[in-house]
Amino acid sequence: MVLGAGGLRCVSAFGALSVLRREGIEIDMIVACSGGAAVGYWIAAGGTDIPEGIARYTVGMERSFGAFSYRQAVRAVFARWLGHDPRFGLMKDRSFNAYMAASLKGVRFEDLKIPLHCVAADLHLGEQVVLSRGPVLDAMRASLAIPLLLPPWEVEGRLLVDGGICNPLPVDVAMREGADIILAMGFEDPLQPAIDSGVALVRQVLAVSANHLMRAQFAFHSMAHHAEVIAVIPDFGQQVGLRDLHLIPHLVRQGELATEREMPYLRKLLAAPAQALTEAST
Amino acid sequence: MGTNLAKSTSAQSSVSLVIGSGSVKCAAAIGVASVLREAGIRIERVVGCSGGALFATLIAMGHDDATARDMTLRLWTQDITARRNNRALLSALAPKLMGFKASRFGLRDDSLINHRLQEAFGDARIEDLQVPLHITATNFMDGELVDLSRGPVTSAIRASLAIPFAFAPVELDGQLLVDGYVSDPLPISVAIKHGARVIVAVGFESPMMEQIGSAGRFAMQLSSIMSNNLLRARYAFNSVAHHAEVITIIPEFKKRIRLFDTDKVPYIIDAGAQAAREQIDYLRRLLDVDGAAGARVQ
Repeated sequence: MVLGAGGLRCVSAFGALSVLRREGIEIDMIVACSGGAAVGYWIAAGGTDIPEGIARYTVGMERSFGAFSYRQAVRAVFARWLGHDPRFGLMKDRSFNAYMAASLKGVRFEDLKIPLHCVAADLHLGEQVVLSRGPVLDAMRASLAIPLLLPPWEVEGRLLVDGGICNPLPVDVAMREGADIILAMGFEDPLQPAIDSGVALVRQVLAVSANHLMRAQFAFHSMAHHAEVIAVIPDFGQQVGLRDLHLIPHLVRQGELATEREMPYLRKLLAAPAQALTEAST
Repeated sequence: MGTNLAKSTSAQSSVSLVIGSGSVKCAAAIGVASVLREAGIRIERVVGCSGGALFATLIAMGHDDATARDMTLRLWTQDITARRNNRALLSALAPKLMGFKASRFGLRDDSLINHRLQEAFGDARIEDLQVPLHITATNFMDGELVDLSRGPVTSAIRASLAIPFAFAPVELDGQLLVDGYVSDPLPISVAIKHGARVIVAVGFESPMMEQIGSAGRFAMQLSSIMSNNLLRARYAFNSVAHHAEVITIIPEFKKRIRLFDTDKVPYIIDAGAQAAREQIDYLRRLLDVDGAAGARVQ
């Protein structure tokens, strides 16, 4: 299961999970970036009660909104006099970090029930960094470092941010780890209906770049590799902001519907090797 | 039969030239074009994106090295971005009060760059140039790549150069256009779509910054990371999906090139020529083999 970048929309992975469970399909590996890492971790840790998982995700998202950092904003404008903090982000992250440290205390990748790979990006080198070992806290916090909002996170001397800027739907990581059937849940960033402010302009540039990046990488990986990739791209029919927590039930439902649409094909794929075996034996 | 043969001979030794985004480094394409010319290889089509659009136009106009270099030195000087557009900054801070308009938003005043383009290209139209020219931009409303192959040269180049935040987008035929690098930093797909068989692509990755000393640089670094990844993914896809032969020329610059290092333009052109010379034997062989076998043998 590959969970792509998509902010709050990543919660719809719970909808996909409920369909897979209903069908009795097991997940043997999770690759996640950005908001998907939070859902991915919950599944990998062996979470069973989906409503409880959604509730925890909601609390986590609430906690991630630190107060607006006026200090950083002022510094951004007067960097020449005030100096620049390499850990730049417009939101304060102290209380979120404390919350995450408390909930992920002592958890290591090696302890998880299902192998988990979190995708982040090295801010200085621009390279993708896959975290699959060691403390989960570092990997999760780095994956969640939404550019410009949450400050980057330092892991082993490298400053890491949300992997979405390198690889918004990291199917190639799953392929490299040996996956042959991949359910990839990705999100296109919705375009702005009107560009009437500086914020809308920034969002439009980011959305256009991220969508192109996702499509180009997906097109290449589908073509170049032999793994079966089933893309699940939910359609929410509206803009979803990071703070639209009230939309969560809708997002989960759309994730469920989008996954159901792909089920006939997935069932056929999963049945195929078994069929081939019985045919060969008779 | 005879005419067919003649036609295929001329088609044999021609290539499409694609110049990706890369600011003043794109001047290397002038060196590449001159090496192709020396080798008797015809350029059948030029595609240019962002900084590349400017040099694609100079090549499509048929200018020789010296003229292209002189025009670059006149066009690309530090003062074209020296003036701030304070109105735009205010409109971003107080969108309601000042009336924010995307089509006017750019932190740099663009009157000088418009003036310079007008001086250099006047009323020239893309469809009248010697070599078919395609300038790429990005439709800012739907995000798709726009291939400009007719109309005034100046507005097409200006649209292709409209780096988000720095320069205001350009309104053209009812579309709001921004820099072509946002949708494809090295648009070989445009050449492929027009039936190119052999493509010479001059492309650049955005340099990574060692020091990220301000929020603006932080944002620039993010945008560079995204566009480098987009460049690689697009390139990989086009190489796998299409049968066109793509020869990539990535000039190596021993000196560091900054956005307005105009004094380094002659050096950049030489580096482009040098990089092209390294590939020219392979290119010749490819074009010969192509002619002999009739089609590329995969």
